[in-house]
Amino acid sequence: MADQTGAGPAVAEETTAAAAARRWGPMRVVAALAIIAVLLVFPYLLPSGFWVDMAVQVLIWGALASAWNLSAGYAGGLSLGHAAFLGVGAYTSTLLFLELDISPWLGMFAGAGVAGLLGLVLGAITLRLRGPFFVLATLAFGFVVHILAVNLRDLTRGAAGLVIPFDGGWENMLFASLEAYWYVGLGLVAVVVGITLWLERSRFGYYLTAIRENEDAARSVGVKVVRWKIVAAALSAALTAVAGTVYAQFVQYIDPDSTTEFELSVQIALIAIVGGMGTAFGPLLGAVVIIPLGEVLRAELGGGPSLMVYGALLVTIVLAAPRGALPWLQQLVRAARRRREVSA
Amino acid sequence: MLTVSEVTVDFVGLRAVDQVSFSVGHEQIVGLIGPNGAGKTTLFNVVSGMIRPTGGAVALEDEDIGHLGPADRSRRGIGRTFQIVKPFGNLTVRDNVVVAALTQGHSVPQARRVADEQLERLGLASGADTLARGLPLASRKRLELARALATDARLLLLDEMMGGLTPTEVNDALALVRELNEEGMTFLIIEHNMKAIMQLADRIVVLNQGAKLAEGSPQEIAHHPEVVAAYLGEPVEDASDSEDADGAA
Repeated sequence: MADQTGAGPAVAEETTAAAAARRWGPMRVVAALAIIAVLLVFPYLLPSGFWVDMAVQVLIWGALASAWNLSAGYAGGLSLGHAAFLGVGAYTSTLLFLELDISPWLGMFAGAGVAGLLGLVLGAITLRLRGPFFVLATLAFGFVVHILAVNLRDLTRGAAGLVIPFDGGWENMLFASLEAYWYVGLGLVAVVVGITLWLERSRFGYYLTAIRENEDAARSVGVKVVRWKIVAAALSAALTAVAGTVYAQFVQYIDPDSTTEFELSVQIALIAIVGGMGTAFGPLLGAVVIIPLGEVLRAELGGGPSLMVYGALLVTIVLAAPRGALPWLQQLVRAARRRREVSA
Repeated sequence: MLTVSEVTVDFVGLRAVDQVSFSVGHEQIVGLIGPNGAGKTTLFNVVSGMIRPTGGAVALEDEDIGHLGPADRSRRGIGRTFQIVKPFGNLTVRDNVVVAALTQGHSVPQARRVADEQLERLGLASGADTLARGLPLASRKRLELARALATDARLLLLDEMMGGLTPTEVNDALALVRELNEEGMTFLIIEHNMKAIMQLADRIVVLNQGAKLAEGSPQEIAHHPEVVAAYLGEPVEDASDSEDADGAA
């Protein structure tokens, strides 16, 4: 499964690639350590709070898109209702914190549990549907949760939203410094991407990609398609809810529009698609591209014009790299390496 | 080994399979032939569990498997290939087979070894790291076979494995089926290539418009008046003739 994204390199290339990997082995370790070092001091390298805020958003959106990717990218369950799980995570941990004084660190798991259960039930109902019918079902589910968030006023306080009173400290996942959220976000991304990397090498991951590629063929070789799709949906929902809790603690105010609206579901999917569905790091790369792009354009051009430019740029990206930015970059690197070998 | 009893499949307003019964004995090769639309693939889908029949029963080793889905039937030893090949296109050739081996309870490293053995045996080892969608048709058909073999299938359902192959490739495929059969594999084969199936099959079942028209040895089928009228057009004189009657393919 190492080369899902490649365009079928010949065997000769494989062996030279393997030789290159051996040669670059120690270099890779050094590079990885350097990247980790940079990540740890990164917020202090940024010029202003505006950029740190954006960097944290990149991490949270990267985690959301990565969680979405587990089900959509690997198992082919393209969901346009994932904001519902984001909302469930945000509301569950926030309500537990406000009403029962339960730490968001624990509330996060409660939210993940509720969302996972919802994902399980929703999956059991919808995953037998194929193609557009499945997408429509997730869309409808997203709307239902949004409507519930607005109308269950006794629980959610409706459109007024919930304010998380600032009581700083690790135990409440509330911090005065933006930099602290960077580290929380980094941990969140590490968990979601780590699970994705594990999945790529596991039985579960093999089954999911087989299901994505062809359900009938997967069945015919003994893969229990519906069961594994449901597990993927539940895992994806639970991790999305975890990101929802972090999001709530970061902005310290949640309402139905900022946590469960349809546009958020689209944004989650868009980031993963632009970055590269079905790859471990693609959704993160998508967030690195999309979030700053949107923010900078809004700051420079203002509401209306920025959306037009944003839309045009998205279309350009998707046309240039239909399988996502990460596979596209990998292809460029491979081509460059090939050219170097030819000229050498 | 396999017993199909009075299986009927109704699609909306259409009887695709009508009260068909036949059985396949251990280590037999049974051919399933008939004109396009006769219900052959539908019957395959019933046997492999892809669709539930409207009536009738399917038994494997005298045990009713009607309630089992395709994944469970695969685990009981029924493997299949598809008329329109369905590789996992964006997985490598090896990973296509690894998926199948994993369902047998192997660990990932074990499954890789099983996959490599099957690829070696089917002559696909040299391209194991390429993506399956890049393979030529004959290799994709072999890949489906490798996948089915990796599930430890004991009964293989081959749906037009010869279709679209060159004469050389057909001969390779015939040799492969014979070899597997000698090792104990049982086959149920849908085939339009008359020469191939006449050479291969111990027994042939003919379907026409959903119903069983005839059943017998290749020789009996080749001269069966109704089969000739409905499907063959003219008697297949000698199964080993150089000119074949695969015009229906």
